Amino acid sequence: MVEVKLASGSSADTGNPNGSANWASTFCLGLFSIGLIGLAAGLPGGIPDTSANELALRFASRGFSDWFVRLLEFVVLQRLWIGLGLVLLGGIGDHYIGMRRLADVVEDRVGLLKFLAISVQLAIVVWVCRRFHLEHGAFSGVFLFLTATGFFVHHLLPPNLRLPFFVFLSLTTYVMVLGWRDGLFLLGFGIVLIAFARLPLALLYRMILIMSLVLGLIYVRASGWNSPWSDAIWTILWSIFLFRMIIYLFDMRHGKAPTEWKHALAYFFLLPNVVFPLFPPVDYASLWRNYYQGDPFKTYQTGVYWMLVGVVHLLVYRYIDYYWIESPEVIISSKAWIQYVVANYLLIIRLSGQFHLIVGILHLFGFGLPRCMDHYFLSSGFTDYWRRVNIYWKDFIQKVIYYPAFFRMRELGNTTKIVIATLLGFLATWLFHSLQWFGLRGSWTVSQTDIFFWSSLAILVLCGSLYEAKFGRKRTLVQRQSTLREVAWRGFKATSVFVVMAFLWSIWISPSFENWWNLLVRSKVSFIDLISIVLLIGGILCGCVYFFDRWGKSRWMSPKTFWDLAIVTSLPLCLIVILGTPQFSGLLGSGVDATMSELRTARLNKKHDSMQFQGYYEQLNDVNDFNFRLYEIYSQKPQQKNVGNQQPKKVRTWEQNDGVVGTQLVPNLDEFHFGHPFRTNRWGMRDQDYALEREKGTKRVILLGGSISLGRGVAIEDGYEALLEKRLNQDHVREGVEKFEILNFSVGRHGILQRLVLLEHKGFEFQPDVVFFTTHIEDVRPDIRYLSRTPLQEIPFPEVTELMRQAGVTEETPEEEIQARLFPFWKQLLDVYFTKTVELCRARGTRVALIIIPSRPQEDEPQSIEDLVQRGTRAGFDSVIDLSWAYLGYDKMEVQVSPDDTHPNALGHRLLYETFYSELLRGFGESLGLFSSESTTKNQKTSITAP
Amino acid sequence: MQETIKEFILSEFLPGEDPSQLMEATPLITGGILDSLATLKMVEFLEKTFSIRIEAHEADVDNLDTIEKISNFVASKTV
Repeated sequence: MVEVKLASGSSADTGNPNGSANWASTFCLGLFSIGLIGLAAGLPGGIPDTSANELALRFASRGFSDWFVRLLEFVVLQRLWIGLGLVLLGGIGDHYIGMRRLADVVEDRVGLLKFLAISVQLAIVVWVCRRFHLEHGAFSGVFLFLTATGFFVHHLLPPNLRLPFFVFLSLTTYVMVLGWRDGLFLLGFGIVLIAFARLPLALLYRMILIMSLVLGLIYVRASGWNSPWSDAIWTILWSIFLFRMIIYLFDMRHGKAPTEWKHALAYFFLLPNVVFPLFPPVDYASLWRNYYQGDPFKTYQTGVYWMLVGVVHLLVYRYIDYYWIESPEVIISSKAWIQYVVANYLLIIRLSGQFHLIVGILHLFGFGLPRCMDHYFLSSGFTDYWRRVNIYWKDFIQKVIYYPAFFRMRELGNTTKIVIATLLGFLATWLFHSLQWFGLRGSWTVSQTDIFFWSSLAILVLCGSLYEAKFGRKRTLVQRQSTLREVAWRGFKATSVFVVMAFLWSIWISPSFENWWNLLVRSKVSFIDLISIVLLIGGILCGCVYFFDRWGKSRWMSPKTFWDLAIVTSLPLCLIVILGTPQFSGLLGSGVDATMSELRTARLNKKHDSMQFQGYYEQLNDVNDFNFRLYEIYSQKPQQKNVGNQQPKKVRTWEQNDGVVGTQLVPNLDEFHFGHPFRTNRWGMRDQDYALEREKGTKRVILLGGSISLGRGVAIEDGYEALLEKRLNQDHVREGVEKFEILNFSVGRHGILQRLVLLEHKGFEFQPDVVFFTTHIEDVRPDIRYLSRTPLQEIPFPEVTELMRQAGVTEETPEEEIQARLFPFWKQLLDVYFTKTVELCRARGTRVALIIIPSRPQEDEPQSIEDLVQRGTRAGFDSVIDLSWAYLGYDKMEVQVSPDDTHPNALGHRLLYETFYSELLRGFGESLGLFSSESTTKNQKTSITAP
Repeated sequence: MQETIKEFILSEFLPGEDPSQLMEATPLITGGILDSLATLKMVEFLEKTFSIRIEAHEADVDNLDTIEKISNFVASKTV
């Protein structure tokens, strides 16, 4: 059995000479630790009172006795003081009846100073992650809170208690993040899998047992069985075991690492895995080989440094994602295509950021793992790129595929062995990536572009390997300064690798070669533009090579001591804090302030509407696209009751209407979606029930819109439509108008044309007096996507078909090509839709208002809104009501559902309602025939905020 | 044994480098001198020179990261 030896850096780090703790000491330190967590939870930025109250309410709702719930409520509300009391009690106990562990820590002044320096930096990293809403709510919230407080407690414990504490912290964090039920089921399945791997049986039998359980679980998932756990656990379970189980079995077989349960639990349930499903294949032997080796303070400090690197990468990724990435449909020029190719390749920085954060967090608990990615943009060849881009992956393939294959072919020639082993390694890489995709997303992916990407990379790496095997590779023991010629040559090689990889990447992220080719052809890429961008990239990379050559090994670029590393970490952290604080960033000019304000917000990029063009890693990171339950957990949305259902059920009902394929909500639904009850009436509206026939004395309004008007993410009664209807009935009932009805015909992701078709074929059956036709500046995307998916001959209005033909769309034009061709015609299409809407309403004597709502909080450009207003007025709408300013004066985070869901929350809907109502009072209500002049005058004197 | 190994490393992977800079504890794999191809060459050399057989799982940091580790590993094989 391999033993894990802990290196000690100071007397305080070793605790007592035997490295063991007595029970009294353990008890006192336990009290002290719990106290610390309570104290941290009670401080500003810890766990808010609302969460604490929710916990107590949850216990109450599950039938726990009153006295227990009251006690729990008292504990969670008084956590700060109880925590302080426990800290004092534990500290005093440790001093008098324990082994004076805390006194040891305090007496080691240098160690204490280092520990405090690390703690302060870690607190700043946590602040930055929260401030910028990095990744998701569960990461920057409960996870980082537990990690930071866990680190503090972990260090104070004697060495022999640290690993059990790490296991305890990890398991607790899994349960805290995923919830009791999912967390415990996941741990249960995981422990059974580990137990199978540890059975005293031949490897083959253990593998059969493990595979049986895995296949059983896959069957359960595929069968749609209403399991007591939710879908959330599948992604995490697969992420934990797919690669690590292979490594674990390999190392156990060869006696390469410790065999105790605590080591296995710590390895499989690695703390950060619960919030990062895309996880590097950490090596079991390497994990324990590097556990507490060398100065522990330097290991911790290195961890904070890697976390900083991760944070910087994620911010750079966000910048690229927000400002450089464009949706493929709008790429119709040479420069746009080049930007698309380069920017999409640069998105790998997100993976790099996540991996650095993961490795950094593990360092905080003594796991001094090697770096996971190493300046891959400066690779001097494809073999070098393969060695740098994902080091853990390269090591994994080398260990389980490449070396075993190579050693089995001893009798063959060297070149043959290299060729076969390399190709097998890449075949396994492709297969494992497909398995990862299957496990995380629940679907299988085999595409031409995927195969092309991996086989091209395999050939390039193989050529590099054969070249190196024959001619060798330049290695040095001492760093020497290169000549300018050498720098230029290395820069040239790095540029070549970058350009080829960006090119291959652009093919990889395309759904097919045809898509990729169409994009290239329609962009009419010019040779001059290509040369210009290659020269620009070459210049930047040569500059980077020169910089690292001159200063890469300097004190500040490769810090060797603890304090150098601390300074190198602290200074950029301070800069990020300054930039992240509006009061400071405002001093740097409005441009910097606006950019920083954007970067502080996690939002979905417009490009995400075109999911089909996202890359492998991007799609595996978009949890909301494939595991809605996990997305809810990560974004900290209220949990749904129906764990199995992920999206509102939709059914195609419009095929009989002019052949236009539309979507409509299923009638009579009674489910939970997007965190709230999702009920529909017999007509398929998310609304109360209405009769088909309009009763006498009823003013009936039809509301047409998309997901915002549908009230996605809020309760039905909190939607602006329900609030407005209530208010109209409360204050505007008068002689001849006994009742107001607003029938909400909104459907998520409906384009404008679909609204129009819905109105024509279903809406008018309800005999409306008024139509509220809502739109916003982002309606272009669902609409053009809808047009591109509908056969040309089935488009309902000849004017629309004519415009599509003018844009060069034929029956054979591929979907993405149609989208690209239609974008320049969007405004003409809009005019057609508006004119048709007005014509249809006029023909039936119905008044119609164009309602312009905000697309995303604080993101609509005024000129786009003005353009919509003008087009609506020109088309002849009875009223054009602009609500785009409804959220004015509010921070976007205050009015949207969550950091990564820009739909308005209850406050957002209330503001929409208030603005809408005030606009109706201003005269629109009267011109639309909703109000009488008497009721308008009366209500203009009253508050609009209390329906 | 250590001298033989050191000479091989210097001639095969570090031609022209100052021999005094290559110490017993100089990290070879973790220091980037022995990549996967170089490790395989080293294994081939050890097998031929010392008449031992090395398995795939043994070609790792634990056994081949420094000259000292390599010589200990070879010694354990030849006993």
